[in-house]
Amino acid sequence: MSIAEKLTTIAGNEPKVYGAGRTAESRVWWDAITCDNTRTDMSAMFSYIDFEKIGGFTPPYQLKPAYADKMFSSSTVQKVTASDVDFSNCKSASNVFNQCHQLTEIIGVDLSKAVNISYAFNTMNNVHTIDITIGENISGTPQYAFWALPKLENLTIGGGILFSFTLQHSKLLTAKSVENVVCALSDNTTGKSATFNTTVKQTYYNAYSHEYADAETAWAALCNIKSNWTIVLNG
Amino acid sequence: MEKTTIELVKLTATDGMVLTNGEAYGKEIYLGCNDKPENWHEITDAEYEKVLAEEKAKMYSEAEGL
Repeated sequence: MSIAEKLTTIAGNEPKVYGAGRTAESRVWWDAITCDNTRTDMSAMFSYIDFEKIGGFTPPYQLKPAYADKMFSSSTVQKVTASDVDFSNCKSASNVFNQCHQLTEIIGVDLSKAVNISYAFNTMNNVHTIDITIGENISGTPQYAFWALPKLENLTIGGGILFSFTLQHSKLLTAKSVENVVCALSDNTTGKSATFNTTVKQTYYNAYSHEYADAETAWAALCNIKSNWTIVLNG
Repeated sequence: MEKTTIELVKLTATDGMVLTNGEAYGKEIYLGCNDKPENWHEITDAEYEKVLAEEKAKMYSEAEGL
């Protein structure tokens, strides 16, 4: 092989070498920030991180935070699933996704052991799907856990909701989501309120117009599913 | 078969006003069976906007101050 041919081959391999280097660099970054995945206090660990610089949020192993306060706050994470992060032993998750404006999906996040979810899903401009499980021993200020989620359509909450909360900015919630949330309201509490955006009353009726004469009747029937809760419409 | 009739009490805010119980705020309130109309009162939209601004400032403060 001539020198010219060798140089051509080397030049042709450059993207592969660069890619391998970036991959190794990314792995080093993950190992460093997670202490080789032994770290459990992940409070603010990714706060303000621009994941685009490492090819997105793609941890090489499943993260298992015991503390996740502000874990992703103001970062550019786009999707979080249970396969990437196992929250099932997380004790505190306040502000965990606060102001993650590029986040669109939160799937299978199990916060059933978290006692603090204050502002957990607060102020995300683009999230459309949230599928979570919450526990019953929640303290702090959970009423704003779902504040300012204007594009939220699909909301699934496992576990019983025992605290007042508001979804008043979520105009796009599907009828199925509204029904799911109402069904998740605990039977074992009184004096609590669930706030929805005013538009979802019509959304709910549109989905069940074959069963009810008008939106008011449909919404009243929904409210009566959990008559121990006050249902508020705002926005 | 048991048939139960549940009376649902609905409060509607006057135009330009918002109903509150000190924790929740809304234009239409469907009271739970243990809630009472006297637990709710009206505030003006302007007062509500002020509450919102205060709550946002508190949220921002708590988010930044961990």
